[in-house]
Amino acid sequence: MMLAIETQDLTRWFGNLCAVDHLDLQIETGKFYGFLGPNGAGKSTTLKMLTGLLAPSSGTMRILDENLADPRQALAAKRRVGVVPENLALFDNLTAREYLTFIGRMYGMPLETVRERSQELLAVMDLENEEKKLTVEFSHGMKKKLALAAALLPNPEVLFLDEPFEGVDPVASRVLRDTLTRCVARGATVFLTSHILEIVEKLCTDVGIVAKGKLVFQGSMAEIRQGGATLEDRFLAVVGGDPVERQELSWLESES
Amino acid sequence: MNGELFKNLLWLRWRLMANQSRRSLGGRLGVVLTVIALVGAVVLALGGCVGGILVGYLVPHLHLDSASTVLKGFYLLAGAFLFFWFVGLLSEVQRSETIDIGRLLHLPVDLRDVFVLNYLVSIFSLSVVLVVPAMIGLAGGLVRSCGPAMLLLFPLVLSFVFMITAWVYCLRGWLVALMRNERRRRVVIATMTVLLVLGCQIPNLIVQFTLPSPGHGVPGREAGAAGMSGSIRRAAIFAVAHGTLPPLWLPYGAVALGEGRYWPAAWGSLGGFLIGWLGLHRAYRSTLRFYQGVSDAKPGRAAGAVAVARAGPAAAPRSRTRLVEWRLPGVPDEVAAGALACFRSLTRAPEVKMALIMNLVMPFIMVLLLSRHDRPTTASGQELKPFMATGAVAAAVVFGAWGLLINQFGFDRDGFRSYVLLPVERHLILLGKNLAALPFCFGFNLLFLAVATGIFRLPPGAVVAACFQIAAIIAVFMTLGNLTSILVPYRFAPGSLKPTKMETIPRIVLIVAAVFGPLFAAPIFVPPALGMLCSRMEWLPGVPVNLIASVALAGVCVLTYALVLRPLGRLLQRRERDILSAVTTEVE
Ligand SMILES: Nc1ncnc2c1ncn2[C@@H]1O[C@H](COP(=O)(O)OP(=O)(O)O)[C@@H](O)[C@H]1O
Ligand SMILES: [Mg+2]
Repeated sequence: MMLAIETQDLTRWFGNLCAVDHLDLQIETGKFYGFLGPNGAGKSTTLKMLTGLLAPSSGTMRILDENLADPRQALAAKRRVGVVPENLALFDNLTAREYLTFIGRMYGMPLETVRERSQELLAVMDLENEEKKLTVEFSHGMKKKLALAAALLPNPEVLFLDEPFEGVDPVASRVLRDTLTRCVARGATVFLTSHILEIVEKLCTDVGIVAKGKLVFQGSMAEIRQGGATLEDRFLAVVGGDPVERQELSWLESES
Repeated sequence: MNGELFKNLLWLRWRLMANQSRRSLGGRLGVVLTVIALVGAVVLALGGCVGGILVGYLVPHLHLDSASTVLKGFYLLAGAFLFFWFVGLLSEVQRSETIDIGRLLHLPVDLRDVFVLNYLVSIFSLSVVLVVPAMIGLAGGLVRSCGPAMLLLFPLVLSFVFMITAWVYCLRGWLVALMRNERRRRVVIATMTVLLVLGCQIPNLIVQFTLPSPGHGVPGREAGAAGMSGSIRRAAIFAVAHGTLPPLWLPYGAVALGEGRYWPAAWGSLGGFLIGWLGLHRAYRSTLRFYQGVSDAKPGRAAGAVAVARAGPAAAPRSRTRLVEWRLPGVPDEVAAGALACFRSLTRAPEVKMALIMNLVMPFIMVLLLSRHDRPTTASGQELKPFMATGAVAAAVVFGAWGLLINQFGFDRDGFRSYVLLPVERHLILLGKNLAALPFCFGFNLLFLAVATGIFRLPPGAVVAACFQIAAIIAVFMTLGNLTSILVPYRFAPGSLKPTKMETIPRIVLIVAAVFGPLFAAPIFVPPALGMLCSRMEWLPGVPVNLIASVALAGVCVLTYALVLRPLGRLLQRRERDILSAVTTEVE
C-alpha cells in the first residue's frame, strides 16, 4: 500500500525549544488519521511543516511519494492536497464565493467546475445565504466552514485539518464529520489534529499521540479497543496527566 | 511567469479593493483618490517623457558644445532616483506586499510568481514615475538627434532601475526580518547608522568630484602644476569609482556613449541586469525564510540549552521584582501597571526600535551637516542661540516623539481588547500610555538638545530654559497624540511604524497631522522670542526672561494636559469599540 504521509526525523526548533523532535510518521492512503496531543505538543507545527507553511529544521517529508524538499515535487504534492491551516488563511475582504473561486483557480480548475462545486459546498456548509457578507463579517465557525470548503474544493487526495471541530456548532460538526467520512470512503486520506478525544474516537481509524514534540503512541483504533481501553485511558497513560492536586488552586473554592 | 496565475492574483487584488470600498465611505473615497493618483501619475510620467524627448531631440539646436553635456544630465536623474529610493527605504522599513504570501503558502502556486508580482507592484512609486519616463524620453530624443548608438541607453536605464529597485527590495525585507530577531538588533542598529551616514555623504562626494567647488576649484585652476596633479589624481579616483560603483554605471555609460565609446554602456547594462537579478533572487530567498521561518538554532548547542530551560521553571520564582511589578511614586497602581506593561512592550516592539534608530541617527546627520558651518560668533549669532536650543527640542518632538504618540493604540493590535475589557477608568489608561511613552520622548529630546548644545556651544541659560520647553512641548503633543489616537486609530503592520495598507480617512488625517502637527510646536518659541524682544528693547536681560517664560509655559501646558485628560478619557470610553475594530482588522 502506498504511503500518503511519511516523515523521517522531522525536527523543528524555535530558538532553544524543540517543538517537533525527530518525528517518524508513516500513514497509509485511505486512513483517517487523528493526530492527538496536549496543547503545545507540536501538532500544529507538524502540520505546518507538512503543508509547506513552515520550514523544518531537519528531516525529510514525503507526501504521496513526492519529496517536499524538492520545490517542484512540493508543488506537485500541494496540487493533490487540501489544507485547513491553524489560522485559516482567509482573505478578510472576499465573499465566500469569491474566496472559493480564487482557490479553485489557484488549483488550476476550470471555471465551470469551480462554479458548480462552490455552489454545492456552500449549500452543504450552509453558507449560501451569506452571499453579501465578507469573510471578515463571518463568525468563527463560519470561517472554519469556509476554510474547510476551500480545502475540499479541489477534491484532494490528502486533507490536512488543524483542529477542524474547535468552535464549530453541532450541526456543522455533524456535516463536517459526514463529509470527511465520505472523503475517506472514496479513498482520500485525512490527517487531522485535535484534542477532542470523543470525536477522534468516533471518526478515526488510526491515531498518533505526540507529547513535547515526540511521538509517544501510534496505532489503529481497533488495537486500542481490543485492549478494552478507551482512547482517553490511552491518552492519559502515555501523556501522563496527573489530576490537579487539591492543594493547588484551593483559592478557587474560597470566598475571594 | 504563469498567465492564469497572474490574472487570478490581479483579480484577487481588485476584489479586495472593491469589497473594501463597498464597506466604508473611506473606501469609496480611497477608490476616487486612487484614480486621481493614477491619472496624476500618468500625466507626470507623460510630462517627464515628453520633456525628455524634447531635450534629447533639441540637442543639436541648443548651441551646446556636444551631446555629452546633455548626457551628464543622467548624473542628475540617476542621483535623484537613488535619493528618492533611499528615502523611501528609510521612511518605511517593512515588507511591501500587495499579495500576502503568508496566505498562499499552502496552495499549489509557484511562490516565485507571487513574489515577482509583489516586487513589480512595489516599483510603482513617485520616484519611478518622476524619473524613469524622463530618462527613457531623453534616451529616445537622443536616438533621434545623435544616431542609433544611443539605443544602448534603453537597456542601460532599465538595468539601472532594475538593479536599484531589486536590491532595495531585498534590503527592506532583510531589515524587517532582522528587526524581529532580538539578538541581531545591535548589528542592525550599527549597520543602519553606518549606511545612513554614508548615504548622507554621497551627495557631498558627488559635489566635490563633479563640480568645481568654490573653495578649491578656482584657485586650483590658477595654481598650475600643483593643481594639475591634484586634478589628475581626482580623475584617477573618478575613473576607478565609475568602474566599481554600480549606481554610477548609468551616467558613466551615457557620457561614454556621447564620446563614441560603446563598451561602458553595454557592460553597464549587462552588469546592472546581473546584479539586479542577484538582488531579486536573494530577496526571494529571504521572503521564503521570513514566512517559513527557517530556524537558525544549532541543534547541538540548543539541546543543551533546552535542558537548562527545562530545569528553569522548576526552580523557585526569582524574588527580584520584575519591571512590570514596580510601583511608580505618586500615581495610582493601575496607572503604574498600565504604564510599565506598555513600556515593556514598547521596548520590545520592532517598530519602536526602528524609530529609536532613526532618532539616534538624526543627531549624527545634524552633526555632519552642521559641524562644517561657521559657528555664529557675531552678536546676532549669540542672540539666536536660544532659538537653536528651542529648535532642537521642537525637532526632536516633530521627528521622533510625534510618531510614537500619534497612534498609541496601533501598537496594541489585539492587545487593545484587554483595555476595553478592563474595569479601569479610561483617563487612567491614557495616563498610563503617556507615562510609558515619556522616557522615549524625554530621551529623544535630551539627546537632540545635547547634540545641539555641543555643536553650537549653547549658553547654559538657554539649555535650562529648553529643558522646561521640553516639558511644555511633550505635554502639548501628548494631549494632541491622545486626541488623534482616539479619533483616528489605525492598525500598524507588525514590525513597522506605518500600516502596509491603510484606510483612506486615517491616511488623510495622518498626512494632515504630519504636515500641520509641527505647528503646535510654535508656542515653545515664544519664550526665546520674548527674551530677545526684552533684551533688544533693553527692558530686561533676555536670559532670565526666556527662563521664566519657559517655566510658565511648561506650567500652563502641563496643567492643560491634566485638565483635558478626563474629558479625553470619556471620549476614549465612547470610542473604544471603534478603536478596537480599527486596530484589530487588517486592511487588505
Ligand atoms: N512561531 C513560533 N515561535 C516560537 N515558538 C513556537 C512558534 N510556534 C509554535 N511554537 C512553540 O512550539 C510548541 C508547539 O506548538 P504547536 O505546534 O502550535 O502546539 P499544538 O500541539 O498545540 O498545536 C509550543 O511550545 C509553542 O510555544
Ligand atoms: Mg495547534
